Amino acid sequence: MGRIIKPVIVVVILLLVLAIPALAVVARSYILAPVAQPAKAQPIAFPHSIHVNVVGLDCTFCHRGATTQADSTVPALQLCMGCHAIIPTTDRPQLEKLVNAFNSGTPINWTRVHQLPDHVHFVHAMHINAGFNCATCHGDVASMAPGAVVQVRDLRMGDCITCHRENNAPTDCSTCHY
Amino acid sequence: MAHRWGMTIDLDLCTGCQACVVACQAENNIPINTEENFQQRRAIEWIRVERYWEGEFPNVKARYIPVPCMMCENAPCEPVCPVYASYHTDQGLNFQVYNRCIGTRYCSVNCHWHVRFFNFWEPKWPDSLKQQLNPLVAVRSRGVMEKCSFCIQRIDHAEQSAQLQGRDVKDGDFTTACAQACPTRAIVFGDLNNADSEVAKTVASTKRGYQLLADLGTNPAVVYLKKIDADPLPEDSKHKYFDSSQYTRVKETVAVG
Amino acid sequence: MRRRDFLKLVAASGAGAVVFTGCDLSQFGDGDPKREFQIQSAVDNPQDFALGRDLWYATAYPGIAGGSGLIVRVYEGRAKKVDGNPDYPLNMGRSTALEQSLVQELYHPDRIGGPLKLKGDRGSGSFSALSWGDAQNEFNSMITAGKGSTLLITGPVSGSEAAVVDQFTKAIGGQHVTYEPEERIVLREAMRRVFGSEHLPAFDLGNAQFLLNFGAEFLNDWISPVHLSIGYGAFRAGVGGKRGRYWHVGPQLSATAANADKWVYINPGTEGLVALSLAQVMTSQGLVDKGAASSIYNGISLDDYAPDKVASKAGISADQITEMAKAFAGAKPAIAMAGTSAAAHTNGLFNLTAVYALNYLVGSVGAKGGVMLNPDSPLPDVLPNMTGGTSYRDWKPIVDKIKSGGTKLVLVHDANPVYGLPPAIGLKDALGAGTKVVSFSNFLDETTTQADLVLPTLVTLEDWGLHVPDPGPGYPTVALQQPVVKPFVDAKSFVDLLIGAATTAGGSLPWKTNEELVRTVVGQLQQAGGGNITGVDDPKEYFVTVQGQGGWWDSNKAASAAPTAPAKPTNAAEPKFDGNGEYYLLPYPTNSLSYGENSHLPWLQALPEPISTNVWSTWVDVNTSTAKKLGVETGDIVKLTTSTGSVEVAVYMNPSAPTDVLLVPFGQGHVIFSRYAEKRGENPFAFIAAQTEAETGALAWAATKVSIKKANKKVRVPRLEGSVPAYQLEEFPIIEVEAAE
Repeated sequence: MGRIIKPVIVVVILLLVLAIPALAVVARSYILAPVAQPAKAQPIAFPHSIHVNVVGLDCTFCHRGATTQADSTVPALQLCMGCHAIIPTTDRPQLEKLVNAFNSGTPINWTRVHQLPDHVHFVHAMHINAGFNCATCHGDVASMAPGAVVQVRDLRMGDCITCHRENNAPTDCSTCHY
Repeated sequence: MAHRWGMTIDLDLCTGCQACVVACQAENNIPINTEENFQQRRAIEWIRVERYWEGEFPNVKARYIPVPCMMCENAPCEPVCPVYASYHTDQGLNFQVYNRCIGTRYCSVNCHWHVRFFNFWEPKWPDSLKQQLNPLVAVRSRGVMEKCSFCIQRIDHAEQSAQLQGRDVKDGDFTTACAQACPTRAIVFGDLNNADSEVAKTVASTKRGYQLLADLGTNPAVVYLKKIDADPLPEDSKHKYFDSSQYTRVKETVAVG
Repeated sequence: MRRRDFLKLVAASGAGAVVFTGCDLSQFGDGDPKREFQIQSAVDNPQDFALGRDLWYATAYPGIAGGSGLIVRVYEGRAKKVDGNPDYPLNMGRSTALEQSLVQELYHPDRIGGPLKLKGDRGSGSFSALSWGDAQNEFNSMITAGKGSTLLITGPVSGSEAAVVDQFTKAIGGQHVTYEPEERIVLREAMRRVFGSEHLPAFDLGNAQFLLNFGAEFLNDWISPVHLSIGYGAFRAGVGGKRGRYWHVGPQLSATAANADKWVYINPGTEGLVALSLAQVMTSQGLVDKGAASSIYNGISLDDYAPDKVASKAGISADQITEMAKAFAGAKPAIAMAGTSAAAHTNGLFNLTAVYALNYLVGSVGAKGGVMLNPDSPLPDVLPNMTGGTSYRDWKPIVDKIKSGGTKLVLVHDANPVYGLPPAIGLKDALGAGTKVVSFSNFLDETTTQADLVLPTLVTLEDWGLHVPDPGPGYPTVALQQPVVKPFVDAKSFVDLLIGAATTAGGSLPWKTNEELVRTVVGQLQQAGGGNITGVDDPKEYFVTVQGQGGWWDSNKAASAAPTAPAKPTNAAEPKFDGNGEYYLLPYPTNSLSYGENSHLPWLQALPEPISTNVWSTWVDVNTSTAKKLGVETGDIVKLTTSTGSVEVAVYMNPSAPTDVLLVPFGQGHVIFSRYAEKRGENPFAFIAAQTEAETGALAWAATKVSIKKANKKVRVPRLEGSVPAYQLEEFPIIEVEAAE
């Protein structure tokens, strides 16, 4: 028996070792993929739904850079307070955080949801002006739970290139990497 | 029409002041070159000013020549890269993709102008100096080749701005950091394919134009204008350090574009 | 980017400094990877400030005597890039390596973060931090105690800063001395004598056809490098007709001289003799009007300086002098210029006056393509012109007074005299003798470590100011400096502190702060009329426009009328050298580190000296054949001995170095001056003989003889050269043209 077990163990170990790259590929596509990540904790559970569906704001009302420049930008607290100065904070702990931050002059550090590496230069303005909606990449943010915005699109190079090819956009390396 | 970005460097105007060198370092997040870097010949200067001697005291002259990447049309660095990190863009730029580079350094060996630099170590800045880093340019990490990009971030920005305004890039919309700083306007940057651009006009009209190591046939996009020597050294004091009869090199201009 | 675009952006950013609350060092940019996963909502959103986008602000840099208009790229409250202001008349969008490096001064890792108080021994560099409140109290009590005998040492000041300095010295009853490179003192005196002008002149190089330069480093660190380089570009490009021709006369093939069509070596200090000889040839051969020469070289018998009499002293042949004279007189307009090492001799003033007087002979004074005189400041009361520095001879009684306790309080700002003056004067010991010393400095340097109290001040990109450039462009000009970023450390404006001190001392100044002063004076400029901004009546709008343009200037106001002959002649003199060495010691300022005041900026330390391509060190340029004779080569350590002392430095074999001159660069040898400069190389000021220029008393730093000895040690000299061959392997592509007719 012992004489059979030994080669079997060797073969099993060999198969396991060979399976590592394959498993890595599978993991990258599923478990490790950006879209598979859970929602990240945010300092304030900001409800996009109320601002978009109830108040009827356009994305670019707050994310003002999106149409004209590279960064879409998160708004300064001053912009929030334009409306929130007159909205009562009683029994609204999330809102209280905002008003306190503004009054004490403390900026808010949000957790990034869409994180591109340093060597990728993405320009919002070019994509918006080419006729794409924010939702093309960001999904229906308005329907996401407060403070639980998640990434819905892969946004890795394969995804970018596929879309660029479909739309005859440049696929030259220097378009994004420098 | 596709752009072909090019540069003219008038050696008659270059004073060797090196404002271009620092301007480039500030724009492109080049690590601080320490004393050890220089001693090990690992200093990174995307554009450098070389000095050449002619003759010896008292009949002596020193010549300056600024050397950025030549952006060759048939670049010797490109075919040797096993991972296509060094490649040719649609606009004729010879370009380095940092995230693709695996650091074989073949390209730097094959570059005749010594304008490719390798990051032997992770670049380091004190925390406070990091505030100066240009957010539009990636910091290259250890094990990656880097080189002059003709300020690709400025090219991209200018093209995007022009596209958003519904027009094409015009000559003078932008320039590279070195050309912007140059006090004597020795360095001029522009589109060689645009007949109205300053560089194209200079290249077309000058009788002094030449390319560095033009006989290699790589057709660089950087065109030098020869220095005018109004008072040449006496014949016998010239070229003291080599026997010019051994070197029969092409002396005349090779056309560009 | 186009000029007009710059203008738009610059003008749009009139509101001044960006206030980006909360973006402090402890939060972002500290290299902590987890910050990359954060994105910040700022508290305020100023109108002119958009997140994620760069903005360009116009400001000014007074650091080089000429002064430059700048535009600074600011990205989310951080200064990223400095460039020249395209509208400012002196530098027209161009800049130098030093100006590019101003961001490193702002974000320097060794910048002093707050007030410091001496702890332990003087000079040890041991300080303890204290709050601004305590520091201010201490400072006020020192001011009260020091009333009547206070000494204020500054770098060259002009404009609003000079106005406050005047008010302060008046209020406290003290004395103000200016520290500046000593050769400039000689230059200023020469301008007084030759052109009767209190200001440095503007050279219309663009329209000139010939430039005869005696040693002035005008393309590198001399009076106004960017402005002169722009002129040089036009000069070479043939704006004035033909391509201008440039001959350089002097003892060194310097970084500037390398650009000359011809370099003529003459022995150190014989510039004036050669100039007189040129004048003799020109007059005796009828190349110029002979009658004019007698009034120009009043009291000097030119025939005593015929070429054959001067040639051997100058170390050249009589034919060379004649050839030079013919070339100079033959091409019009022609400019004669002198400076840097020509001024740093015992006969420096004679050298400069004799050379500048040549301009009269060829009719280039006040003419197109010649020397243009600069007018006075448009508002001399509130914007004084730059005043000259204090000569080495005048420093002596000042230092003695400190030593004897006659001076109760010494204030130092933007000057490092302990480093820049020869140790023989004893300033360091004098400052350590018990007098209270306050230093307004951003870095611990040799002078600051002698201080009892260190009050850090705002750097160029953080402060307000109005500066009158010297030299100007030939017409009245004022540069406006405004803060482009919020102060990076807990520092205060020097002018604000000085206004406070003057008030404490009992003075009553019409302004409370630096900013108020700047705004008031711009209002006065508007009332005075003229200038680059027209059609704006509202004072606020006027100020914003001046901010956007980067200053005020009036190109319609002509330059001052030029005299026809020198105001005061100078006696001819030959140079005197100290010491018994067989070689001349010629220290030289480099284009990056200059006289050592910029050594703390790593970009400049790492910038190759153009001729040797050496970096980060001190070396001695030795002629190739001299080196062979001495048995040394590049990297060998040699011992240089002067009458003052000896130092060990590495040899750099330089084929252009004269056989009997040893060249040593200024800039290094700081005992303490940030991590990038300290304990690096040698300071030439410490081993030259403290000779003075005969008439002005300025330090003659080129008047030393030296001996050299091999030290049997070797180092690797850090330099750029080496990865490339020093001699070209193919024929150098040069067009040889016929000499200009």
